[in-house]
Amino acid sequence: MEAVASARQEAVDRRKVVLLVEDEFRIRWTTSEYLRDAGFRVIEATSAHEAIEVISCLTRVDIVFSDINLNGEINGHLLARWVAKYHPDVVMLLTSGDPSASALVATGRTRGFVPKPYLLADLQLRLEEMLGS
Amino acid sequence: MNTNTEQQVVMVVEPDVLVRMVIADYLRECGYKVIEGVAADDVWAVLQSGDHMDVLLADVELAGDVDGFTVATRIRQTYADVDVILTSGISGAADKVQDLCEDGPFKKPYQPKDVETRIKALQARRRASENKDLRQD
Repeated sequence: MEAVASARQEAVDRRKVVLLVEDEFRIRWTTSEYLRDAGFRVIEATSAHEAIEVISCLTRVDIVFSDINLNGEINGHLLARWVAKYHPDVVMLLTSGDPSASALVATGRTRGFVPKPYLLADLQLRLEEMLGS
Repeated sequence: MNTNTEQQVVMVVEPDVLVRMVIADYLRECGYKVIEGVAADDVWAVLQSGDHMDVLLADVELAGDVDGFTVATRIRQTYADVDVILTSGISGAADKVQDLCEDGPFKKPYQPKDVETRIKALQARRRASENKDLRQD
């Protein structure tokens, strides 16, 4: 029994961790459910402030997927800047319904942008691609 | 109502991200499907979408204008097949919560395993009640 529990825990710990930052409930709900079914561990944050709280308490996060327009004082761009400064190993993917917002996103191996609305299957592929899995 | 073989659905409505993350993860590890919310509107969005929930675990203090007491009252009146568990870190809220959810409130900080035990007890009670109704029909 212990071996089974241990193997299960190992499988759980191997899951890639997505920190989903989205202030619209319905988008957060459907996206998080889809990504969990796809095998990710998903932590849900409703603001950049919450995302910083999660990362700062030493929770393992592999990728932050954040909306740019968020409630509160910190938008997705500022969150991305904070992540790049304090957690440069964490991959950052931004999204927005405003296509012009992509111009302000620094892109590269660990930074990216997907326009809204996105297909969940496409999002999954993009996350896997950025995580190299 | 879900049967025993179907995955039970718990909606956790908790504005504190760290509290929400811990209890939601724990319940998922226990095999529940967990929907996370922070405000009363999130609860209505799920219920009005036609998606089912078996248990609502909500704090008395929520984001937005509507508190957990109001949500619990409306659930009891309109969605009688949903069990409600309220949580509170406020001393003195206990008496008010007592009237709105079975077996009293969960005082914060709570142990996640105690929440699961309460969920199991509520579901067992509901099944027993449904079986009793069936026998009487």
